[in-house]
Amino acid sequence: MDQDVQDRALPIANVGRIMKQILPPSAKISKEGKQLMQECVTEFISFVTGEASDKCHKENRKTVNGDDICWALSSLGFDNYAEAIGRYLHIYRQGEREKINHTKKYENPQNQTQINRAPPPPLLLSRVENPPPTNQSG
Amino acid sequence: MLLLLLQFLQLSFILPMAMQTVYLKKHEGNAHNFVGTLSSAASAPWWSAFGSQSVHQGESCGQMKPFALELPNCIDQLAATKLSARGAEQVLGEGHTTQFTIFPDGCKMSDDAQKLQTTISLQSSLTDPHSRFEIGFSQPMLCAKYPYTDQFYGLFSAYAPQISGRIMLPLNMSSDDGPIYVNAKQYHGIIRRRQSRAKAVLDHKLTKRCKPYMHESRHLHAMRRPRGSGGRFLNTRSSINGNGKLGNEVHKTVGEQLQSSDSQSSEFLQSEVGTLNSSKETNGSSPNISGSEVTSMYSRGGLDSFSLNHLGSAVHSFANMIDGGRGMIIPPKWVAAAGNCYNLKV
Repeated sequence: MDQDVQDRALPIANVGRIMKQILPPSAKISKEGKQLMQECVTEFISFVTGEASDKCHKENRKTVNGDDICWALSSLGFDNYAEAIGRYLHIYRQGEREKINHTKKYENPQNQTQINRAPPPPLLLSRVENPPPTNQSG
Repeated sequence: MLLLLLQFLQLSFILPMAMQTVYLKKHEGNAHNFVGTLSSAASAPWWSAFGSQSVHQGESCGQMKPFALELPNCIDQLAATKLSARGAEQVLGEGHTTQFTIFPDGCKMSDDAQKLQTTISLQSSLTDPHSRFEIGFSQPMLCAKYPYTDQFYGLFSAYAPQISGRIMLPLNMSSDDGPIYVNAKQYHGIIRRRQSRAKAVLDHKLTKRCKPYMHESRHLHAMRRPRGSGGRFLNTRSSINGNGKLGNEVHKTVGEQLQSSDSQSSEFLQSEVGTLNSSKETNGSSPNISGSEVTSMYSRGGLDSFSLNHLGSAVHSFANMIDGGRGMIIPPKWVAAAGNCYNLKV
């Protein structure tokens, strides 16, 4: 039974690591705190994704993209998050375009170097969980 | 049971207490009266005194007892409890006055009498419309609390910061009668999440089975590995210390399995006999082993039988084990063990 719950939830170690990013180095987080945050985060992701999926279903589309997530956040009342995610999505797409351009310019053996320059996916998760500070997004 | 009921009533009083201070005093008085009622019902001389005075007081005390013993799960029982408690207040007030005149020496009695007098004064100060408003207001709060199960408790706590936030919208569900307010934008999302969560709970109950392993690929790899007599893996270092550690691990595993599944204990005991027989045959083939080593091998065989049987409990894994054994070069001992396993299966 616990295994099923763990399979459906996010990895608790990653949740703890993300929680530590906002805390001072000397702070500690209890296991109970991590577990509760794990449940809250999982529920929030299901909540937002359900709203986005509902919109895609109405428009007869099968793929939920970043714009749908931004729309879902704004439609659910999380306007601050929607603005921050919108700015991040813009920067992310610029990075993707630059990556494509660099791939065209250079030769094939250097593709690995270009792939390493791509923004890491967990950063998107940290943006969703943390409150939207202007300094980071600016 | 009484303590649980008292805590429950105090919790039910907390919600109205947060609204207004006047009701705070009122409910404190009610709580004290209820405590006094229970204490009077529990003690023999109080009971006999009430019984001797009048039949009406006896009936009221008798009515209080089943409510005190039972844990109220329905709204009607709560309403009946409140009504009976208020009825008992007047009776207790009169009774305590009489008792105070009879027993002037008791300190506790004097304290209870003072509390009751304070409550009576509060009741006289409050008017009837106030009491009716209190009744009408407190019931919806109690109704709002009951329909929620443990899985919705998170949502209930999540509502609190939103009530003071954006646009408010009351829920109009048939199952929920309480005035719970949520953000208007999130109403449909919350309803959708409740339905999907309920569906997930049902699916989980229908397909409820515990996995003996964490990873499918690792499980398949373990099933493909060759095993020696007693079901132990072959290509590992077989030093004495290593065997000791493995024995401890097997012992822990056996303990966990016995605790987890009681229905399979009979199967374990039955199959243990076959394993001991196979170990006897193995020992017979080599007469150099001494008595102490034979005893230790018996104990090891007994421990290994549990882990082997746990893997063999599933038909698929058992069939996979036989197929894997056939596909590789099998020593004569393993062939004998395989034969014994086949006999056990029948």
